Amino acid sequence: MAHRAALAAMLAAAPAWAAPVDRAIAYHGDFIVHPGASGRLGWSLAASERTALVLETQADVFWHPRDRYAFTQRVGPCVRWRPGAAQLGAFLHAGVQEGVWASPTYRVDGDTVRRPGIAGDAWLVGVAGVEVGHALRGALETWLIRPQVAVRFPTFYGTSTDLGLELGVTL
Amino acid sequence: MRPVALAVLAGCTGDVVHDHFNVVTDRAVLPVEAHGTLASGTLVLVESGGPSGPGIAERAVGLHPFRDTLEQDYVIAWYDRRGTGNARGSYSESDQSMGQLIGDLDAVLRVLDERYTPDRLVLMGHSFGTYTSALYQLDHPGRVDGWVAAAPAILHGPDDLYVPVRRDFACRVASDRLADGDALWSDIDAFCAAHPSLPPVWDTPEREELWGYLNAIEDRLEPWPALDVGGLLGAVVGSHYDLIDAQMRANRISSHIVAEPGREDLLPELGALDVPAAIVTGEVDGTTPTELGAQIVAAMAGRAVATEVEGGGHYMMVDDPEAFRAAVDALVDRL
Repeated sequence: MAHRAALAAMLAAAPAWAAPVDRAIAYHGDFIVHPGASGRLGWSLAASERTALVLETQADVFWHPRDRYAFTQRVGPCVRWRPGAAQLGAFLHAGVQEGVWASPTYRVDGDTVRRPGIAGDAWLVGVAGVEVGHALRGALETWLIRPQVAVRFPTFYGTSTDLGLELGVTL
Repeated sequence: MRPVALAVLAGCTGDVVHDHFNVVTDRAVLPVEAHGTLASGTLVLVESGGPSGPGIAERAVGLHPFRDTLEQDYVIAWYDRRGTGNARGSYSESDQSMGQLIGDLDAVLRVLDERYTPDRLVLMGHSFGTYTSALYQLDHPGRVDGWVAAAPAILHGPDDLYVPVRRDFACRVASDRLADGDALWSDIDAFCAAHPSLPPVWDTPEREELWGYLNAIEDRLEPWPALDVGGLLGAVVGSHYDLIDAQMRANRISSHIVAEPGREDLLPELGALDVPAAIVTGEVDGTTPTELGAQIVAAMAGRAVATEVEGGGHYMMVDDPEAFRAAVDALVDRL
């Protein structure tokens, strides 16, 4: 699909711009309790003493039991403010999600019933969220909590809304 | 159905089934859930009301409380129609049609047959689901072994068609309660005396007056079950169901689900159904009243048995689960 190729090209080109200023890993909970993980890189686009505009790319995976395994690639800006040791921010990402059904799936064509090995679907996604964090002492820089809401398109599949919560650290 | 021993499948422990799977058909992904016991060899597929109602959620919110009744003896299966619940796919609103729903139902039945190889397959329609389950059997004779029509809504189209039976319902309810001294019953009784019958016509003052009485009867008598929100949240956390998708998606299908011209009323065709049937109505359900159920029983010429749940409303399976169970058990005994 064209949108996947475009996003992949953007992600591939990103490291060439500059060394990332952020490297983060997190627990990614879809609806909090559906477990997953995420990894994120960020590049500074503009910065002052307390504020920064960062371009982020992020990869997520989570497991919604009996529903789907979801793999998401996304990219977008994050505005960040650092009053002292605290960190506050907001981000807006766009990307793609590939879902693989986590339940047995049967395909029916006319009179024929068969069971393909892997079945799923793909969506475009938009994600909006905020972050709250605080600086750490030691090898890890900051802990972060990032509540977020993702909407999958096309939405005729449903409201296609995923509430997520990331609990992570920057390295 | 094939007289084959039931298989023990993934998602089952012994004879007990708590199963979830998908059926992909004609660009839609339809989730299916099955709960119960395989031992009896009987599988019941629920065609839920709607057409926009999410089938699977009906169990979670307590509107199909079969856990302690029917699920003890049979496997009960629910699915989400395309455009409802957690159904997904690459289809558009304009792809929706009555024929598409019937095709999807056929696909789900084929997969249930493949997955469980039941000895007996029963279709259980509730409300709008009785229309689609009847239409399916008319178009696919011999595919199922029995039919449960609960709150039968075999008239699908303008509400005009319901005017005569709802008039008879209101008159019966009022007549039974005249001794109560409530002015409503005497008002309805007088209305019935003045109008011994009503035609299936919408734009009349008599129809409008009748609808006022029906609303009053519903307010006074009809039990409406409260949703079991805890059960729904449990399903989300537990966590096979997407609450947000199921409960918040807009109804974008009902306007596309229209009966084929000339088939808005299936009563004249029901004589062709050659399966045992249980017609279950609620005593005070004015939406799909016992009077309509009686017409179905008559149309099926001895193959259908009527059960009226005393004090029951549109969800009579909630109002009296044991009475509902007895009606289904009696049907299965005849298969």
